[in-house]
Amino acid sequence: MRKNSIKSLLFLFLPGVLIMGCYKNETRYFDDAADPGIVIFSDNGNNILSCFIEGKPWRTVSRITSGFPSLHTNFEVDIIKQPATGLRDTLIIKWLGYFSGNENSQGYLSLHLAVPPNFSYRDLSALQGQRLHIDATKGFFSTSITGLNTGNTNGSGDIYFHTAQFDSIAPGSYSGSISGLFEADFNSFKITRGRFDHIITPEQVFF
Amino acid sequence: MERIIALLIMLNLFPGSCKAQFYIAPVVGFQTDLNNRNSFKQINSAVLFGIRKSRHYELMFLAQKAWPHLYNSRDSSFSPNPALPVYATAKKTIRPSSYSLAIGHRISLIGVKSRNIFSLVFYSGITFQKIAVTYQYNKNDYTILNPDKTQERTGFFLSGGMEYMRLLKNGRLFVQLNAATPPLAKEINYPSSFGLIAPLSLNAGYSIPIKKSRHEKK
Repeated sequence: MRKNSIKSLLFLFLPGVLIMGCYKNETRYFDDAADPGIVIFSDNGNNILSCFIEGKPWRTVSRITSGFPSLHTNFEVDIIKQPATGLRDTLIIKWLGYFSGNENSQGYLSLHLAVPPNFSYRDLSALQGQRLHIDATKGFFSTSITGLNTGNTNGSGDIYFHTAQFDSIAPGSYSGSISGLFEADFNSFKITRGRFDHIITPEQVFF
Repeated sequence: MERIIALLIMLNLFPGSCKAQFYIAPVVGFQTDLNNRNSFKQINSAVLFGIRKSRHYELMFLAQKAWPHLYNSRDSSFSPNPALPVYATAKKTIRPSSYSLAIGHRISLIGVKSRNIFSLVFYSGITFQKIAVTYQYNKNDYTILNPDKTQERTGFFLSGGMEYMRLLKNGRLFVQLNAATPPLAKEINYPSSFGLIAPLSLNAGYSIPIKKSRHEKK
């Protein structure tokens, strides 16, 4: 009788334990044969940015969605709009990552772009096919990475948006994607061979 | 995999007999690919060793190399550098090659008592495929979008087809049309524009007797 009760309890809780232990990695890593250490340049929604910082491979964290009960996703990139004091707001694309092989070196890399105050997520699509030279007039790149710099360091550079698509799928809901290439110069160090490819959900866009 | 190979060898050697006619045949041919939209082409060269056990059945051992026919195409590359054009083409060359070792069966169906014989042929064995990819482009300033990468796979394969054979004074001339599976191996975990090759081959060979059995000498 007691054995049967224990069995019943196990059958009752086992599915719950299994569901709680589940998680999904939504980042797909494909090593680039031409640039060993970083990923290929893709537009398939691989959810990763990678580049060389002072010649060392740096990549974003994996996009992990945990299971029940939290059902929470840790995103590798967020898009924020920050009100500014002048006539322009600032669009910030912020990537969280680390030097490959050293997850303790977590930090961020971000792109700050001056945009009009009425800039909405729909306007992100206008970036598609654009190649921008990022200097003090248009914005800046910024980093704060353990083992590289202390505080925020700003730099200039170039970025090419191969895709920037944000399609409405329902009222207040949309699916988006961005991919492209970039390089940046921070005077004391350089970022080279940068490439990114992300699916963007409304949870990552904060405006 | 080792168990499958052992089982195949056992099954194939089971009907072994000394009263047999031995043949060796150089084989050449051409093959195209049934598994890819832009089908890869290859030139075949092989050596076929045959043991004729009866009028209707022959056991064969095949060692084959398929030489690549180069496949050229273009991919897109891009640059973030504003001093350069945003887009440039990258020349892509794909070299598909393969090696195979197989055990085969020739089952003669029509014309076994004549000089023109029609048979079914089946092979099973191990194949190694290498689909090598190289690019020509400005690597310093440009990056290729969704590049292909060299893929290599080794695995078990099966093939089957038809054969016409003409008996000549000093040997046998034959033509085979065969379709084979791709290697049954771990899937390519890479967003390639191609998959492994499933060859459809047309081969011709000339089979020379190398030892006559006591039975045939009489």
